[in-house]
Amino acid sequence: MENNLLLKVEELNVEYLLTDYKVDAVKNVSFYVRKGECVALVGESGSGKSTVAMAIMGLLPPYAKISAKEILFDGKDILKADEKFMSEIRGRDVTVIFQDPISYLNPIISVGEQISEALKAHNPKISDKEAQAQAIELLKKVRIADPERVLKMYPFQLSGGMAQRVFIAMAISANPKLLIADEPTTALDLTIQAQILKLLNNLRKEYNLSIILITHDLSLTSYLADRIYVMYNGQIVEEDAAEGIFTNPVHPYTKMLITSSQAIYQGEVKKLKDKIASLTEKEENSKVGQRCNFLGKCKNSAQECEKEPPLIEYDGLKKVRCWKL
Amino acid sequence: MRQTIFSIQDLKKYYLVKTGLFKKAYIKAVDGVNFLIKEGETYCVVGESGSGKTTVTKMLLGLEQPTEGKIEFLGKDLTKILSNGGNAKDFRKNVQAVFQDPFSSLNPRKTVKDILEKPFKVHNAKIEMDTIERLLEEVGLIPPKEFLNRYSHQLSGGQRQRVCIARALALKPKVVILDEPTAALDVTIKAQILNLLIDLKEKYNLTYIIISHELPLLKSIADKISVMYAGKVVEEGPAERIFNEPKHPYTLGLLESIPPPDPKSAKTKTLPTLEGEPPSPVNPPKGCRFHPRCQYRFDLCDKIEPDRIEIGSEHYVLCHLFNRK
Ligand SMILES: Nc1ncnc2c1ncn2[C@@H]1O[C@H](COP(=O)(O)OP(=O)(O)OP(=O)(O)O)[C@@H](O)[C@H]1O
Ligand SMILES: Nc1ncnc2c1ncn2[C@@H]1O[C@H](COP(=O)(O)OP(=O)(O)OP(=O)(O)O)[C@@H](O)[C@H]1O
Ligand code: SF4
Ligand SMILES: [Mg+2]
Ligand SMILES: [Mg+2]
Repeated sequence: MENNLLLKVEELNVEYLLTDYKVDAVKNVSFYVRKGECVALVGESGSGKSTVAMAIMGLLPPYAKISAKEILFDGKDILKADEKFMSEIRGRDVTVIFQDPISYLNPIISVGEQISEALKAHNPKISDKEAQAQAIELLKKVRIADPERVLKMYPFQLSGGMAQRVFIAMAISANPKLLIADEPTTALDLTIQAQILKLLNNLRKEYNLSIILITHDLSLTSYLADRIYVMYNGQIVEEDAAEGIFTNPVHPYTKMLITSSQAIYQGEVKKLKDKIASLTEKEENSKVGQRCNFLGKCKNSAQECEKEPPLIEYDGLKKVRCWKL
Repeated sequence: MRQTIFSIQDLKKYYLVKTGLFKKAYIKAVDGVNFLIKEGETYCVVGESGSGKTTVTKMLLGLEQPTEGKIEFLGKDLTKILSNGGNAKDFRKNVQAVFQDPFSSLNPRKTVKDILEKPFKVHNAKIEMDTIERLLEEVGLIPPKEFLNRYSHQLSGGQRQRVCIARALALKPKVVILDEPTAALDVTIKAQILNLLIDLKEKYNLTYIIISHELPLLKSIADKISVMYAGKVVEEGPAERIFNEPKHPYTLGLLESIPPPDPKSAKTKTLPTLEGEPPSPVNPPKGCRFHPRCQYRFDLCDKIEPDRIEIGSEHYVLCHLFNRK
């Protein structure tokens, strides 16, 4: 194993077994994160990004079936680890900014106590006074006004963006090795978003923090990510250095993502109408599986697309899941 | 003349919170704002996180009592409407909302089908066989059958948000208030939802009040934009004026922070950030609330609060720079 590797996920599969059928949320996903690296998972809504995060954290619901060749974190296979080990690394070595911070904040505990708890998970000897001082520093870092006052507030008294920033503060408080940031700035205005991105970037430089950035917003990845994995319907369809994804998108879905982002940026959403209509006509899950997941929405499709394409190296740099290269 | 849907005058909301053992203080969440929202308009509110946007919508929906000021709906006082059972029910049918936090606004014990049938049941409206499925299709939850029997925690973030949107549109209301409606959606779904909103508006002459920090996206849909900062509307005007001729220094800062969707400029460029402390809602800066962070400020700015100045047709700004007296 490359010795600056922090996380390696090999052939991860997750199914949610519901009463009447199952959801294949993650299919054969492999990726890795080096120390100090930021890797982005981007992709459509429902493509399995949060499920990947939950699988790494060991937080999937009991009716989810997970399998993988291995999930190595810092050299240890966490797939085989017991719950005791997992609860030790959670909140200390690996932290996560959940997509829905409000539902992970305890409604009856003040912001200050929640941050103190997070700090104590990392450093049990810390005194209350010291914890309070550090909590204030953290809230300042995430640009919250009047940190002393906000420590005494309860989650329902926070605005959406404040709750998200309190969560970010908690996630970085432990000085983790790996931060999984699931849509970390969706509730923030653009000026604060820019400051949070800067903060994350500084932590990376200062503490060699590794980040998995989960986002649907390509512009975020362009500031932070070194490498990008594009997901579609539970699979990785393209992976490359961030530059490569933007300058030379190859998979038809990646291309679509980039043109849509540009159209939105330019205020030309109406022009996307027909393109999008075809894209959102999903087939029943049961019908997919044997063939390319993107077939039906793809302009380039050919005979071989009836079989599922593997993730193939392309150009020596990137990997793409498409027959027509 | 188009009908006025909401007329809001000098609206304020102060929250009393504890700041110490015996100390209390008022959070000035909304501190004197005016809006005039006309039928068929897409009225957008942008602004800092914590500037009071959600609080305004809560008052419009009658979920919070204003501390001061007046809200009129179709020319009638909102408190009067809400104090009469029948009128209140009509109001609730005609004014629908998508809340900022899709996670906590869906009942975890109800399936998607229950959630979407409820508005019809409450208002004794007929549910056609395929009404619910069509609603799901419109928001891109396809095939609908796979979603009908799921609980909200069995959906991805973006899927939940779309269930909320479908619920709000179910009864074809007159007015829809959407608080960060597309924050959790990837670009292609975003475009689809926006186009759906545009279509419905053209068909049924709906009025939208949209709160969003995704400025680029508003280019495609907004008619009017209000920019909030620290409980005040600092600039208001027709969307094209806000984008092309922004006047208030905070609006300028906000527009500059829009990240471009291409990484070439991104990685090399430093992120523009608004420097300085975020404003305290308890003790907002004296004079102009933006002055500590404003690069154009001059001697008046930290002493006198600027008035609302009309600087063009329907274009207002709260800044001393534009006071020609
Ligand atoms: N607890 C669950 N039970 C059943 N299905 C689930 C559950 N959680 C997620 N799913 C399904 O698994 C798929 C992947 O969901 P996931 O939350 O990982 O998507 P995502 O990529 O994070 O999407 P988003 O960008 O919308 O958050 C979706 O189709 C979703 O409906
Ligand atoms: N119930 C409450 N009790 C006390 N303070 C509150 C309450 N609700 C909101 N606030 C405060 O009012 C201010 C404005 O909050 P609001 O939710 O309206 O902001 P917002 O503009 O919607 O921000 P965001 O973009 O982050 O959602 C914040 O300082 C918040 O802490
Ligand atoms: S009033 Fe003064 S401080 Fe406020 S925005 Fe205008 S120039 Fe800046
Ligand atoms: Mg997700
Ligand atoms: Mg809000």
